[in-house]
Amino acid sequence: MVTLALIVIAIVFVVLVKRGKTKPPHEVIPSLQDKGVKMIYNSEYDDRTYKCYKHRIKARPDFIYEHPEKSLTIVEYKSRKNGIMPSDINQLVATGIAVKSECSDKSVTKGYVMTAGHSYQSFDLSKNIDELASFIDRPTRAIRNIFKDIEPKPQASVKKCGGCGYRDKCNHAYKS
Amino acid sequence: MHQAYDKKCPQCELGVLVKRHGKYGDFIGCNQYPSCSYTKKMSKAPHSRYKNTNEQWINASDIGAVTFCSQSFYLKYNGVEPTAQAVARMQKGNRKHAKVGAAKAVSNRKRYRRYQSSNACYIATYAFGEDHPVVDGLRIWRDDVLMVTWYGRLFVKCYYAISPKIIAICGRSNMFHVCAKRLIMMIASWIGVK
Repeated sequence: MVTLALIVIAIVFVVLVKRGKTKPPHEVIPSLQDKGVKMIYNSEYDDRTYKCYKHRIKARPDFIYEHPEKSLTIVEYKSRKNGIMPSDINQLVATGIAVKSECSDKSVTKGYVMTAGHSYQSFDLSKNIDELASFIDRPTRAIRNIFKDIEPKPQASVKKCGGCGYRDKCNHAYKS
Repeated sequence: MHQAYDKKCPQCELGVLVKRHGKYGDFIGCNQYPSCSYTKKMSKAPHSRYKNTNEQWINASDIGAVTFCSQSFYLKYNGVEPTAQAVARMQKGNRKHAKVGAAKAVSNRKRYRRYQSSNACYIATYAFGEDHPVVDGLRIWRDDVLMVTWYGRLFVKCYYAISPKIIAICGRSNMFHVCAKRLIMMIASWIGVK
C-alpha cells in the first residue's frame, strides 16, 4: 500500500515538474532545431539595445538565432500560457525593424512569438524596414500622440479590461 | 499650388520665390514667370529623414502595449501606478522570462559574446555622446549613403578600425575633444545633417 502511494506521488511529482518546465525556443520551434542554428542573442545575458535611428524605435528582443546562411530569426517570448495577440505581432515587427537596421549585413527573415505554453506563431520579416514600419504605423502614431499629451480614444472591452492593471483608475474601463 | 518661400525675387523685386518642378527636378523660380525668368538651384537642404532626430524613442514593447489598449498606456505614461495584482503578475512574468533565458543559454554565453555590441569608441560618439542628433544623423547618412557603395563601406571599415585607436591615444586631451567636435560639426553641416 505504501509502495503504491509512493509510486503515485512520484508520478504526480514527475508530471508537475515536466509541466512546469520552461523550454527555450530552440527546443520548441522546429526550424530552430536545424543543424548550424546558433543563438546569438539572449536578453537574459546581453544588454544590447537595438535601435532604428530612422523610425526612432528601440528594442531588446528576447532571442535572436542565426542560421548557417547568415539569416536571423527573432523570437519574442510571452510568459502567458497560451494565446497570441495582435499586440505581440506588432511588438515583434517593431523589434524586427530595430534589429534589421542594426544588422544590415545580415537578413532578418522570420520572427516568432512563443508563449510559455509552447505555442508559437511565425511572422514574415523579410520585407524592408519601411514596409514593416507602415505595418505598425497606427500604434506608432498613437504613441507619438500620447507623447504630445493627446489622450487616445477609449477602447473598452470585457476581454481587455479584465486583465488590465490600470482598470481601477481608468475612466473608460468596461464595468459591468 | 507651388510652395512659397518668404523671399522676394532678387531680379524683378515684385514676385515671390516659389518651388517649381521641371524636367531636371525641383528648382526655385519667380512666381511672375514668364515676365520674370529668374531661377535658382535648390540648395541641398537636410532630407526629411533627418527631421525626426529629435523625436522621442519608442520601445517595441510600448507598441505592443498600445496595440492592446492605448488608454492603459496613456495612464502608464502619465505616472499612474498599476494595481498590486498587476505588479505581482508582471514580476511572475519576469521570473518566467529569466527562467527560459537561463535554459541552455549558459553554455552559449561564450559563443555569442562576440556578437555583442563592441565598446569601441568612435570619434563622433566620443565628441557628442551616443544619442546626440548629429550622431543620429551621421548614422543615417552612413546607412543610406556610405553603405551603398563599395568605397563607402571601405571608408566605414577604415574609420571603425582607426578611430578607437585615435581615441585611446588622444581621448584625454581637451584640445582634441574641441577639435573633433568642430571637425564633425563641419562634416555634418556639409552633408546636410542638422
